[in-house]
Amino acid sequence: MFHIEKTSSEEVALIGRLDAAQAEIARQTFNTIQSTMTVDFQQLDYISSAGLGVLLMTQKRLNDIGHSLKLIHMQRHIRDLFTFAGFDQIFLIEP
Amino acid sequence: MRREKSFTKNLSSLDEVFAFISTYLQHANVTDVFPIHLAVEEIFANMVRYNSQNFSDIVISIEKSGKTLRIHLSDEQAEPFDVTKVKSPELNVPLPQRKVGGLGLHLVKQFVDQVYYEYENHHSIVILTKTLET
Repeated sequence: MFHIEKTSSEEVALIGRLDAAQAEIARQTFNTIQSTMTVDFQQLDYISSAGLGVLLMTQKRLNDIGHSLKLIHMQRHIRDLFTFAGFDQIFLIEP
Repeated sequence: MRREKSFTKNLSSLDEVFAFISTYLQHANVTDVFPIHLAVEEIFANMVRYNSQNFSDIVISIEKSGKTLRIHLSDEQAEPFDVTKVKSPELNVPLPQRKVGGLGLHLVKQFVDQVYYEYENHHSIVILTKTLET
């Protein structure tokens, strides 16, 4: 399953598997983000295009108001997926 | 060894789909599960989104033969929709111009070797093949 934990006022953690059935949960949480936020991927085991879409829409919206998402602690296979999606060019991704 | 199973055409079936694929891959000693899960989910979700007006099942079959893994996803009573013709999004454009549409299919093509589409007797069929390294 999937859930999101707010670990501080500036950081959230994605936990579990973010598939198309879970994307709405992610969308609801990400829609509430109004300023620069770190997203911890350490406990995220899976993500597909539905989840990537939520991140992209959020990044676009934040960018318009001078903010952004920073993505950290990605597992290797998910880091590769972000490269294939070209998301390494539109997100700050840190080890 | 070939396995086949029917799934209700709904995103809530994804947990069962992943379990079915994982069980097969485990028996077939395939350890790199992520690309297979992703490719199957993207095609399955596509079939749900573009043909949700009828309640036919989606039938998935999976077979490993030698080093080749073949997965069929068949949507019964569907209108023709060739997913392989979906254009990949432009990846080298600035953020404001980036689009989400087509990203799933683009990723599928990165993770499997071939994606075929067939339409026969109102069955919309997507066939994925991947050469396994192990």
